[in-house]
Amino acid sequence: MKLVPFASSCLPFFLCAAALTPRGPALSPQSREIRVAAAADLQFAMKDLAAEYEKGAGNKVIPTFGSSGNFFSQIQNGAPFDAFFSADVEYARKLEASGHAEPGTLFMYAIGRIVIWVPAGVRVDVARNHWDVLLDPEVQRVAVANPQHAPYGRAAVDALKGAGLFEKLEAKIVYGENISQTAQFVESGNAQAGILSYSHALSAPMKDKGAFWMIPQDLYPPIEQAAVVLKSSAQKDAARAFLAFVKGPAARAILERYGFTVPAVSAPPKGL
Amino acid sequence: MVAVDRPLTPPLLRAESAPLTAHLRKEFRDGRALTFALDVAVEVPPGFTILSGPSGAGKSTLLDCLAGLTSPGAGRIAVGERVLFDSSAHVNLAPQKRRVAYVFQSLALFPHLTVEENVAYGLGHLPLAERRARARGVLDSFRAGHVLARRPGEISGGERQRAALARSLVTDPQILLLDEPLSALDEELRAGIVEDLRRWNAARQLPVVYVTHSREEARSLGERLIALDAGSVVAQGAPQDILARISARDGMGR
Amino acid sequence: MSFESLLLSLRLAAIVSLLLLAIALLLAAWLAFGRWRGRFLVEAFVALPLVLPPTVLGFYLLVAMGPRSPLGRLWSGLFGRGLAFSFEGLVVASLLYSLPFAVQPLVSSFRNVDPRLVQASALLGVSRSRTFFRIVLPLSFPGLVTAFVLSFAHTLGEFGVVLMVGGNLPGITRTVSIAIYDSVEAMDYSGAGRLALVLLLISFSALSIVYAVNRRVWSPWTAR
Repeated sequence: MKLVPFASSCLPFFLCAAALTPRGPALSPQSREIRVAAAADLQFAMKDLAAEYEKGAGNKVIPTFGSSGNFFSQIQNGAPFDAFFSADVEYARKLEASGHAEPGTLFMYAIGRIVIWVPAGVRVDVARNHWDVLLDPEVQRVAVANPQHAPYGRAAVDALKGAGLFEKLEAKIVYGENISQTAQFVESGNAQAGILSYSHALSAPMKDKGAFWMIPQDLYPPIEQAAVVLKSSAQKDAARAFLAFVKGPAARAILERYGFTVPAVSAPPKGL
Repeated sequence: MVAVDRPLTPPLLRAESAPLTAHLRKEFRDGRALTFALDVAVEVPPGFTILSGPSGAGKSTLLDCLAGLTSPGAGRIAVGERVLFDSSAHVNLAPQKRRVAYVFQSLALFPHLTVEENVAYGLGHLPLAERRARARGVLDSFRAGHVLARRPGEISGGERQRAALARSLVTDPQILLLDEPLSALDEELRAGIVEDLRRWNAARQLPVVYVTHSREEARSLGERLIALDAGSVVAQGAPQDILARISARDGMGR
Repeated sequence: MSFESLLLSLRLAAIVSLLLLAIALLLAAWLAFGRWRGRFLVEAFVALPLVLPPTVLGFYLLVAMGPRSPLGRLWSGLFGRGLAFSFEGLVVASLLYSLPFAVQPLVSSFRNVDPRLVQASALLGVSRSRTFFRIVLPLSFPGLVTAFVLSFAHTLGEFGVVLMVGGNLPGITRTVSIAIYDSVEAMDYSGAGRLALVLLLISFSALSIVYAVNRRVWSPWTAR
């Protein structure tokens, strides 16, 4: 008898659970869902790529963004992605070696660049003074991606060391979990400057909100970004089709718009 | 209150009116030090036996041991031939099996059940109609039939007392333990309940252990008296003789 | 699309708190009334998720559920897909990290039931298990409500463990708290704000309804 009011208050939750039938991957062969693990620097570029791709094919591209290092661990632990767009070709190669990647699918889709980005409100001139703005007292915090698992973070730290500034700035550095979070730190003003991906600097939410300076390439090893189809994928052919699209001219144009250098398809990744 | 002769409850199985005999020792320790030891040998024949003694004498502990709510370290408790506890024979009946009725000082009526449901609680093995009939019957004999449908929180102290008694007695126990059942009630109410109890037990002749500080109750009810102090029996026998000796200091009030 | 994560979270929280109610009830009953001297060890283990950082918990759960673990392999043998990075994996993880939120209020409620009531029931011939269902449980109603509501709310809001064990797969393991985080990372502040507000309103309404309903029910006998 006293259970009735309790049961009736549970009712909304019951209905919640019952009404939501389990959602698995898309069922019809005409429209597949391709789950892509995408490096955080592709936050905006990938959305454009997916939109362009979906116009033609019937399939949908569902990206999840994060740091390449994290995805690498997750994929090795069985995370059910169909394809992996890494910001560091090394991760893709290791997956191929460990048997997690579908052989022969690895290709380099872009080469990334890093920039120093300063939001509009901070009174320094990064386009003119380059590295010096980081030393300016106006800049209390410098956001950098975590070098442990974010390739853009590693590049940033390499560049700082190359410029002889890492020790001086160490106390000011805040680490973002991936390059997107790093960008968000600076964009929101919580950090007064940051070393971000060129693609972020060119993206819609950021391009009119601040100024940047492209860090010279000779200060850090090139950021070679590679993609693979994963062996655990249940729709390898759909994934391959998407990767083929990314190699094509429409996709290259999108990537170049975001500041990526797209290698000619026939060129092998450096370091081989 | 006018005493009207109410019909007794429908005849129950006649309880074997066997005496309760118990000798037991229970120790309480704080680490290795002995803080209290209950060490008694008592005999409770059919009828009312008053158990008296100051606070901390061990009365509640003794009742708890008799009821099976706690176990003595050593001893034997039996009702007639039926052994409830025997440390040397490794017998220790659970409270469910002892057929001991025990009314706590706090009564412990189930607050979420009606008086009728409370009283019928121990009769789960009977069909519904019979449960209700018996519950009503025993409540009537304690003049509390009018509160059947109410909850314990909604009735007076005297009615709660009667309900608690009815609940324990309806299950046809072999012994009855009452821990200061009337201390919270006024003179008039007490007299009424005492009268009902006496009438009820006149037919059944169960051994009843009745804990009280009141000389009045001791005198009117007690056929025997056991005086407890610091865990030991200091006197056992006819109330008049002992009461004359015991002073108020030993816990006996009016 | 933005409400997909909300529905996912609600579903997860509902399933977990209903399951937990059953599991925690039995566990709490044993902790409150059992006789084994080692119960305190179990109590400490149950309380671990309260003090462990979510990443530590997430790490051990991933190890325990991953494809190389016995549990993970058993699962994929039975169902053809992994336990980690699945909705079912989230349910398992949530059951563990919300466990103390269900068990502790229940144990507390059970222990607060007047022991004389339990003893009275025993003396009237009723077995320990029936006493639990007829006396202890009805009188612990507030504890039941608290346990349910707390585990629901906690599951709804969890982030760290879900991220590590679930992998942020849209429609499968991207709960609303992760979706909000994602939106912030993508600098979609209005999207994040919308989701956060809806979540806040839902949680608040759920809590209000439950407490309002139960206030009427259990006041009579606690009022004394």
